[in-house]
Amino acid sequence: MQKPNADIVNAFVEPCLGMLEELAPKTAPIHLGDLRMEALKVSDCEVNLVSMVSGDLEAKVVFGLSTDMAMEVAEQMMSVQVDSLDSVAQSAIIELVNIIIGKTSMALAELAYETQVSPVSFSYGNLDPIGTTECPHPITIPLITTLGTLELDLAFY
Amino acid sequence: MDNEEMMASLANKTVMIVDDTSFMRNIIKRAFEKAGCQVVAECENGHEAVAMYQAHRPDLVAMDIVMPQMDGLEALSQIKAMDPDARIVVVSSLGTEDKVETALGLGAKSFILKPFKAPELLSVFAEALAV
Repeated sequence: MQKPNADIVNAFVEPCLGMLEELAPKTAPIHLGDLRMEALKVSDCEVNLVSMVSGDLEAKVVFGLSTDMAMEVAEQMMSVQVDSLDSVAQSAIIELVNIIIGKTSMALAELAYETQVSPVSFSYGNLDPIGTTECPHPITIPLITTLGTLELDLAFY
Repeated sequence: MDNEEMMASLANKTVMIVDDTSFMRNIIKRAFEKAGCQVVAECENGHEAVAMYQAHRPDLVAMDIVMPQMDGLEALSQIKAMDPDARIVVVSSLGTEDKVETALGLGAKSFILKPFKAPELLSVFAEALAV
């Protein structure tokens, strides 16, 4: 298991903060909530997007958000009113996470970790386990924005 | 190349867009259509891209990297094996040095990092037609 240090965790957090700030530039600065290390957990968010990182560093990354926040994010991405999380809205949110995870991979490369990332999967209403028995203490980082709170869960293997 | 030359070079060109999200395919499609291109195929993975390239032989291909089933680098390699003159530009959020080098080494004409602005996208594709 790769022991995550602050630089590694920042490689995941900073791109996420950057993209959220680009989405809502006029809102108050985004703040980080209290970082938590929890026992094997299941996301309590309604919308979860998952990507797997492999290579020099192996991790499962889960972006969890509420339905309302997901619709707000999709609305900002698409510049049209979004009334439901239909396939088009889902696609916009997946693309946002694709960009975040791509930037993460680039930030990890700067730290000399060569990584590959999986396509992002989207689940709505499914309770997806974040950690596994190999990673019993995933790190949870809440990113608090005026659009809502995005919960970033990182499990390193 | 100025804007007028760029638009003239792209007019009436056929384009294939390969990306696993419909959101991104639509953004790219709108940009090309405004430039007078004809989008002849949209694909959401590398397998579809290889088959659709064979069927349509488009003038230009916009190719994502991270996709399910077959990624864009493998599709790029297979398309170049089929048609060494294929003009493929990789459009990806994964811009690590090794990915860019691999893409160019496999014969991609250029690499565009997401997110991008439409004029930047069109400019890179116009340059790809010129070389």
